[in-house]
Amino acid sequence: MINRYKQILFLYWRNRGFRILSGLFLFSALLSRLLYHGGYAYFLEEVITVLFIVSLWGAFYFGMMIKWQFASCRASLWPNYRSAHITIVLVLYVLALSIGCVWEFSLRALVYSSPYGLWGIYFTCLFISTLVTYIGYLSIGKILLYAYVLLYLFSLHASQFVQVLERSPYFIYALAGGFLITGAFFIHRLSNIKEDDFDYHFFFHWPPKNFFMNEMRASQNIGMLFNPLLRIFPARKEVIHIPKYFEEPGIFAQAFHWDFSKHRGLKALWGFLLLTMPLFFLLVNRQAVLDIFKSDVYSNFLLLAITPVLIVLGANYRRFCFWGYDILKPLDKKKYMGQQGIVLLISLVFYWALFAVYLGVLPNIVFHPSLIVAQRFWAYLIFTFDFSFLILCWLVLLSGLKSPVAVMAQVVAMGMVALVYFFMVSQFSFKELIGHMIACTLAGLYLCVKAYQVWCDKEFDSQ
Amino acid sequence: MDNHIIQINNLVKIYGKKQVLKDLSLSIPMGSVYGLLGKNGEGKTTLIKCLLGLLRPSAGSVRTLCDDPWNFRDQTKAQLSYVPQSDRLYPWLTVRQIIDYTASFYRHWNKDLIDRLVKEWRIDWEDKVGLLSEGQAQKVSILLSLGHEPQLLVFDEPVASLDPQARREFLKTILEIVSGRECTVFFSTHITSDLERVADHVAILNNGGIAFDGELDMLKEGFKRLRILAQHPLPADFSFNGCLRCETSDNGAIVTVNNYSSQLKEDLEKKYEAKVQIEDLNLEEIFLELTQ
Repeated sequence: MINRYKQILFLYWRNRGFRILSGLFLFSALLSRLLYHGGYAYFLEEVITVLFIVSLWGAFYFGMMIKWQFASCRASLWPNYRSAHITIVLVLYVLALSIGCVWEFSLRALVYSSPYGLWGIYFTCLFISTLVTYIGYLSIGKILLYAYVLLYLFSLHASQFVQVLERSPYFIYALAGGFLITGAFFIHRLSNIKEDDFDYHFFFHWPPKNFFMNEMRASQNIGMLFNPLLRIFPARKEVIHIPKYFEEPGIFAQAFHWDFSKHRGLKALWGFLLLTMPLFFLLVNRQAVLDIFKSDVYSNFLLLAITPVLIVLGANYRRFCFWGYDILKPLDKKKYMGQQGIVLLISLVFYWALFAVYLGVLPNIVFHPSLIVAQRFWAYLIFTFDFSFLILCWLVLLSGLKSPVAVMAQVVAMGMVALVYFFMVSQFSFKELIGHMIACTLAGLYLCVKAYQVWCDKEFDSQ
Repeated sequence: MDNHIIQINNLVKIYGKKQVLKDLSLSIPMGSVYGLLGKNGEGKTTLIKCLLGLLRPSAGSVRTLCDDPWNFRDQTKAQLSYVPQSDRLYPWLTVRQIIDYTASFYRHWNKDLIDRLVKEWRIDWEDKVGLLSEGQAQKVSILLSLGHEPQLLVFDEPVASLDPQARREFLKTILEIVSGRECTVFFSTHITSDLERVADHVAILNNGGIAFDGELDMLKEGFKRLRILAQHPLPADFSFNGCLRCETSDNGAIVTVNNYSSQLKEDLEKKYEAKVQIEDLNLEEIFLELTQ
């Protein structure tokens, strides 16, 4: 029996992604200790942001690994399979909790200001893992699209939101209840998942044809959750097919030719934002929040600069499924690759504009009109786009160069750069913003050219 | 346990509005090598999954190893194994690691058998499972199903991804396993020649029900093609009991029957003053006759 538990632990440990994410988690805990004991306690609040990102990423990955184990005929047909795997899942979760508790102990300064912060993170992690075991890997992309908005709507001023929650005497009970209920759902799911369940097959499947089919099925089910929204903002029912290629006159028209999904996600996002904007405005309209909103206008740098990139890559990832068919079409392969790049850039402009207008420009027109005429605000806004462009080009180059695990590690490195900007951008003067804007644009253009060359070489062996 | 390892009564499985299995009943004798034949989409995989409790039947009952498949006990699970059409193994593990992982779930594990098969099937212990070809991965799946020497082996299209040599090796192994001990093998396949080589029983699935089930020899003895050459023109409505298909031309006819006996031959010769030649049908021809 001990050998069985050991083998299940090895199953996790032998997975490189799991090792890297566990390492990052431990590293962030260690970093916090070093900062605290080194007398840099004022950085600790920033470290919690790193921990939050690493923990959520880990929880998502962990959820995928768990579902891989349980949505399998083995779970139903091997003796003691479910009980042994659930035990190890719980052991790993308790281990993560204990590391967090040690960390929390070392973060006394932070704990005083937000005693429930870490427990909130752990609850979110449990919730994310549970969500993945319910709706699968692919559908999480759809959920994330909406979750991005919700998360950032409230996390723009999360500390105030948390403070409001913490004042409630029932908050601790709500948190404990959340743990218990989510935990019960989690274990119930793992104990009972069967092939008859609607989402059983939603995995990352290869060959691409299966991947795409599963993604469509997953999208349909997630779409059902948002049925009321779809009635208000009906999406045109489309039959997904590979379009016939013909020489469109302009480069943009040609680029749009490849984007036959026609930004369906974007349309839904606009609708969702329109509906949630009144809520957001109501929240900001509270005097306490409004004061902070006005004093901290540059706090949404990550939202404006990083989220559009993640959405663009997520939305265009499905394009890969059709490359095998696309390259049979009558066009030069270098030209084809260039057009794919243009699709990415156009998508980036659209998604960035969505967030910039709705979360940058509109709230400030309503609540802080004097800011709208400030040069620095617009420079800041455009800087977020330049940084998005840089990140996008860098990620495209990386994905052409390195293995997924290396990409994962380097994303963390670039994430650190983004975090540095996040903390420093509010102190930049107008001229400094212009300087960074030019630097990011030039670096982005350089990486863009390199990415083009690398992908031409990688896919078609031709430059 | 009676002498049937699997007992299916009036099984119905409905997906949405589509009824895949219709009132299907089947009994699998213990110790048999039972082949399941059926066209694409006839419900072979659904039937297998129902009898293993991976899918819940819409109606009817299934008993496998005298247990309810939906709530198999651990003791029952230890006595069976299943190889699906395409198995999702852990791609980041090596062959050695996945074998060790699998073995840890069973009290009994025949290490010598697995070592021998790994060698015979030319599988590298240190290969990453995710980098194996489809056929190699299928071999690993089969290996994992054999180590604990189960009483019941269920394979869904086990040889579909294997090359001819690997198929022969697989069939040889199956025969060895069955001849060496009390073991039942239930498998679905499209490759009738393989089925003929190893199966002693066969079930043919058609339109959601069983068109035939029984011993393979009995099936082949009953199904014959008769070439009839009569002295006089045969009647336009020429037919008789047991006739599945009949092509007539003047005083000749080619007839497929499912209940051949020497008495039938004599009767036809006498009644139509005809010469009757008997031809054997192979399993593929019988399958086509039954499902057309």
